[in-house]
Amino acid sequence: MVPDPTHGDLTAIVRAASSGDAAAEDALFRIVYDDLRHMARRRLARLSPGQTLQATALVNEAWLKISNGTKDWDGHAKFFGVVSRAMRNILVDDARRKSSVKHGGGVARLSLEGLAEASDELSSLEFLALHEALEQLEVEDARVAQVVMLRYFSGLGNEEIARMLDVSERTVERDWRFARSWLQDRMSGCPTEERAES
Amino acid sequence: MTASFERLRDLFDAASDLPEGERDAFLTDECRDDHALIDEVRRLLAHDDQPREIFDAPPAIDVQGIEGEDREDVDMLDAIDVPGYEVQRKLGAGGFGVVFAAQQLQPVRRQVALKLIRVGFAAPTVHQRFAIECDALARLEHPSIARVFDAGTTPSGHLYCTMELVDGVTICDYANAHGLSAAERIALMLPVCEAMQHAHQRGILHRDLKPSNILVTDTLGSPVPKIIDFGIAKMRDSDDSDLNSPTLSGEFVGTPIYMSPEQADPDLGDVDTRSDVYSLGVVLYELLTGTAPAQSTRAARPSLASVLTSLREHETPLVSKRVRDLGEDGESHAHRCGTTREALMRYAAGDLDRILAMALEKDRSRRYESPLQFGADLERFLRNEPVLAQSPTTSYVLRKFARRHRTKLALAATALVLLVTGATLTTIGFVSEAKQRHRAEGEARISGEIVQFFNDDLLAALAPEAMGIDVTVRETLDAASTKIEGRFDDLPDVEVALRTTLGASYRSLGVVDESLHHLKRACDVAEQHLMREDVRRLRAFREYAAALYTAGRYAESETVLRTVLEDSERALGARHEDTIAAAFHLASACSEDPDPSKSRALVEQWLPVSRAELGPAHLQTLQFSFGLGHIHLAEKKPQEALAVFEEAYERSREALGATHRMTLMLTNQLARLRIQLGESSIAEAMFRKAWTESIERLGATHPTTLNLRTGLAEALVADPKHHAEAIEHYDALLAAWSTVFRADHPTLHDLWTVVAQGYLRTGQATRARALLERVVEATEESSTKKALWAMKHLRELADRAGDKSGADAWQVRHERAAERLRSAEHSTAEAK
Repeated sequence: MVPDPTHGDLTAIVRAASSGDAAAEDALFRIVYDDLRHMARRRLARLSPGQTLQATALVNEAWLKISNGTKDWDGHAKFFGVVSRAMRNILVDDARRKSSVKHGGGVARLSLEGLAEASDELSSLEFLALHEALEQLEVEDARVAQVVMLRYFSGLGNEEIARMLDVSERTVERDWRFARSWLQDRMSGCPTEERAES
Repeated sequence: MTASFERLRDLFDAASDLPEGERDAFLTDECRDDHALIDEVRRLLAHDDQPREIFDAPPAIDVQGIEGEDREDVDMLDAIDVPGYEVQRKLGAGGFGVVFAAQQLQPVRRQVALKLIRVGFAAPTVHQRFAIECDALARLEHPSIARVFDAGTTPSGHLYCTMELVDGVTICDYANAHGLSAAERIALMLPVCEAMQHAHQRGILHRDLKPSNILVTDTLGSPVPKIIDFGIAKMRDSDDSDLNSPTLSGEFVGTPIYMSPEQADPDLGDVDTRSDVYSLGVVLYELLTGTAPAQSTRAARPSLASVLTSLREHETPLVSKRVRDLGEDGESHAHRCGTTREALMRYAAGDLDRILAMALEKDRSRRYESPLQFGADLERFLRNEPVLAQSPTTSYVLRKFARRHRTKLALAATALVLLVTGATLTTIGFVSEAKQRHRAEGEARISGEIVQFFNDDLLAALAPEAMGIDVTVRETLDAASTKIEGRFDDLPDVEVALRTTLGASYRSLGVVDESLHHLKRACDVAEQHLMREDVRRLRAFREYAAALYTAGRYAESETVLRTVLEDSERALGARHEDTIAAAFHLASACSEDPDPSKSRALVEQWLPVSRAELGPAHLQTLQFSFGLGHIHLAEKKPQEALAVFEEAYERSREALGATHRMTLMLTNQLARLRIQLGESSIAEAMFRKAWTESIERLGATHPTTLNLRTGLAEALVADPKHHAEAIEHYDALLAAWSTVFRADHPTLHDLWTVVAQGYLRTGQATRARALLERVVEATEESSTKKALWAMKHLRELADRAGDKSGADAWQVRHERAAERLRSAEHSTAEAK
């Protein structure tokens, strides 16, 4: 990929964000969010109806653009944290839109992205349930939620996640398995409050 | 991390490491009686064994929703995030944006229509205007207007506006689906008219009224029409180029077939409340006939061919005629109205036809002024009361045509038609009732003849297809000239009117011979066939005198005018416009006399009359002022002249416009005074501007244009740096004047002296000499003063060139001529 000169600034923002600058992180988030949307739009325009575009592929592309191909770069973890969050927001926005379309009995074609409607089994409602459960999980256990973010929304492997979070690969795998089950449980509508009251 | 969560996690981790058979025992052991916890871990373990597919594949983005127009709405969809609203589905799209159905979440939950302005349109000025507009719309409260609730900007910077979501069908669909009768269709329009009146009273125009913007809902069994999309189209008026880009104009400017002529052609003026009245008329027309009125000539700017077509076809076909012309389609539409074609035609013929014709008037000054008036007339019709709408008269049709089109042909049409009809319409009020009726009948007959002549002969002769768009006034008049010979032998009054018009038109073009020919003939016919006090006769003589004046035959002109003024005062009274005009012409003729007292007396007597009777900004009054200014100049009172010209200029510019001939002439005078006051650069700028405007308005060889060009040259002479340009202008002027005036025309000789002076002042000795010799040759007999002036300069030129004998020769000739002039003046004085 040809290095994009405009991303020189972005690299600096990523560095600032990874050193704990909250404003830089916000800025990075907005840039990445917009970037992902534009990439999605461009690529989707070339696809024919019914074809899908993996969200994680987009994330990879974004990463390649920003890192200029340098894999051993220290902004890695922060960047993927931000990018996962951006991708999640995009998917959530879209799922909300789609689900309200469905509630309104209207035309599903309204939506541009059709994000999260990749396969029939994942309805936007299911995705929204996942999103809400994930919000709870973030409250309960931030690291576990982060593993989900990195693996699910950024498509990273256990090895990379382990390196980024500075834990063992086994821990990552256990976190993922637990999180998956826990989220699934929340998604099937088991009320936590009941358990707390009992 | 809460303790319970930590415990859950530990239990899950431990249990999942165990073989399935040992897990229950482990959990019972660990949790004892906490069955809820045991259940929860069990559920998690079950999920772990059978993970949902959602976790198998990474989330993906599909392209199902982005074909066709949706792909174009890409940027729009970015904007759907409107705080406080849940966007639900797209209802439609226009050039400016997209409308969605949405749920308002707070302060109240309700269904709304949410309109988003397309990203490209959202220039900063538009934001502001949009907010102001929505604010005004929010104040409209009428049962037949969809309410506007809210407006704002989305977090992504898009403009939005929310409105009452109307659950209905378009007014035409409703009427057809319910088989409404013609009367019911009219009744359905009444609340629409009322609603529009309500909006107009609050200063809001709709600008895009059409059936699809008038929805009908069935509330409690009775139909309620509601106007939607109010005023949003107004946004197009922005100076933002995005909004006016041609690709968008079709959608953005409104919907052509429902648009009023002035909306379709910005040259015709601003859009106002009457434009909405027109659109209301179109909607009712469509309700009644099933079709919109013809629009082939309305959408485009009028070409000459279409102007002619629309004149020939007059107006939109009447409702009854349209229903008849539609044949089977008319029949099936009549069935939808629960009747037959014949019955529908009978129902519309007469008053309803007239009401629609009035609403659909192309000239808005003849339209209903307000939706209220239109609605009231419809109500009167429904109650079988007399309606306001009346059939237009023939002369009106002609006037309207002339006013409507501003092509070159229109100038011709104006010259021809307005003057002719004007001549036939001035007598009412000065004759007895019986006579008046008689005259009105005669007038109608004359108008009819003129219409026919105009249509069948003149326009046919013009053959726009052959001559193209650039038919000039001159060509129009020439065509009329050849057609008029012998055609009106049995209609002397029509011939007088037409020839007077033609003659006056030729004169205003500076074509003196043709002008005199027609006017002389007009006077002869009038003398033979018309009464002495007949206005047409008086007008013919007045115009004849004016032409004589233009031709430089001042004495003849004065004689004719004295008679005209006398007859006019007797027949029409001293205050009549025509009498005042006659007095003005007489004053002009007298002003050629070296003694200004005769014309001064006339101007002093008639200027106050003109001001009082016709108004201070009337062209006639301005002409008197112009004359007065000239008298001041002749009397060497430049300050008084300046004051008169300046006042007249202001009035003229205000009342007649900056490019009106009168205004240009006054500019000429004011600029000349500037030169006298030594302010040549100001004068130069004034002349240059006026000259350019005059070329555009009157043509490059019009006397007014040439006068302005002369002034420009004179202003340039003041600065040696500009002499080259000045000489160019003088050369061009010399050539141009010769095409306007015959070689023996006294005005031409005056103009020669002006140009010669220019040549002298710019040091063009050769040019000056040649021209001065021509002046001497042409004027030595008739106008010795000019000749003397020329001889004096010729002598000086010879002197300066060192030509002693030449100088002496001119000196001798000058002395002889001066002697002749002295003796002539002596004998004139003795005669007095």
